[in-house]
Amino acid sequence: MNVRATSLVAVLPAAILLPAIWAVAALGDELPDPVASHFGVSGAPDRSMSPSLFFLAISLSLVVPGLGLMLAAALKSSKMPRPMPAFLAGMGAFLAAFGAAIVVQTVLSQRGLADWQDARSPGVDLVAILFASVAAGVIGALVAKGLPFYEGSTSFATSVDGDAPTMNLDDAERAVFVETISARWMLWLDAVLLVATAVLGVFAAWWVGLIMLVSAVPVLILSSFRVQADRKGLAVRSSLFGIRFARIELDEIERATVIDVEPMQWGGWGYRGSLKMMGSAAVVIRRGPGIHLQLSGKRSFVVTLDDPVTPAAILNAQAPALR
Amino acid sequence: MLLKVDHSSAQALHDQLAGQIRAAIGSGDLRPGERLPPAREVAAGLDVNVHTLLRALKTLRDEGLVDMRRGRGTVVTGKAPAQARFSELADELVAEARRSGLDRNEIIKLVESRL
Repeated sequence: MNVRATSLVAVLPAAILLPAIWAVAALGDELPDPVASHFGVSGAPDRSMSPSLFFLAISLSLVVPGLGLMLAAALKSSKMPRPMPAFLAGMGAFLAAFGAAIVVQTVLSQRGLADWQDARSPGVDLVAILFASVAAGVIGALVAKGLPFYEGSTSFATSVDGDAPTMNLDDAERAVFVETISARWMLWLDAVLLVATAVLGVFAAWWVGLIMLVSAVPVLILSSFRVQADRKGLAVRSSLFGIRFARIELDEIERATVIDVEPMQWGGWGYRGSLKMMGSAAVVIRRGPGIHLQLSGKRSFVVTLDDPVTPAAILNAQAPALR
Repeated sequence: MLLKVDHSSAQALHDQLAGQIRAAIGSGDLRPGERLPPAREVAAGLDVNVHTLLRALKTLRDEGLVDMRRGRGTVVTGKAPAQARFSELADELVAEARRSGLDRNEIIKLVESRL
């Protein structure tokens, strides 16, 4: 394990956790039992919890998942394309530091209180907590940026061999193909984030829940896509909110082929690349069958689909070059 | 899910659509609990009016094959397969009979004589 990986699994977590561990070990005795665990919108504490349970809830919902992401980045970075390790480590360090900072703030602001109801609103401490967590996230991302990453062809294959099925469509006939593809692990990740949102919203403060919700929504949007092929071309939308991610006009499509998608060849999982900036993009939610569109100007677009044959046939039946 | 319509066919567009979706349910291509894609997007892709597609969906709802709820879209029900199979067979019978020149009353009589 090199210096950077070691920093990511040992030095940075230690730097994040030590203040919290010190605060609880040295000053935990001075906390009221229960402590104020939740502050209403007005800033007054409105719920309480035993300190150990409160710290456990924070650890399980923020610190442990955060450390897990950092560990994954350090151990698996060589299997991920470039931006992934930095993203995971940054996100992980942010979550872990966020949890640790809440613990430190709770101890420092409530020590010596006779009753939890005397606790003052976190107010300006919020700014410090967010600043510290974002700083930890940035450091985590910078450290992980230097890790070895997957160096295979992430440059997107431009010509791909594969069958180009077609079908008969008369001038008066119209065909539409629709399939919804979902990344199950992302839906699970989202379930975890939403549970954490609920747990923190109830046990900590409403704004903690809000921050978790803000991180859950993008994951939700990117976890399920609806792909439609018809005479206008191919469209990829978020199946939950209907937001359109990509629209490939029929005129641009030279040929549609059925391929086996190896995620790393297309830059990893999720929406990768950019048609405008890189001339090629891919919506990859798993390894396996997919449709490859060869576009004008040597550009290409890939989507993983359970049935790539039918949409490829619809597009080929109408694509100008093959008509 | 694949839907195909023929704008030059004598069969009404909503009948074609209902038949296609019914067949997809019957063959298991559309599974119970599965949500159909938004009617507006599908209709646009087929160059049909959204009301034409909705009319087809309402036929299927009356047959108990799908559930339509405001805001939740159209969902395939569980009791689909048997019902869908009968409708499919009826479609085939009627189409085949028409092709052989039988008229409405003759087809009805034919079926009635079997009951």
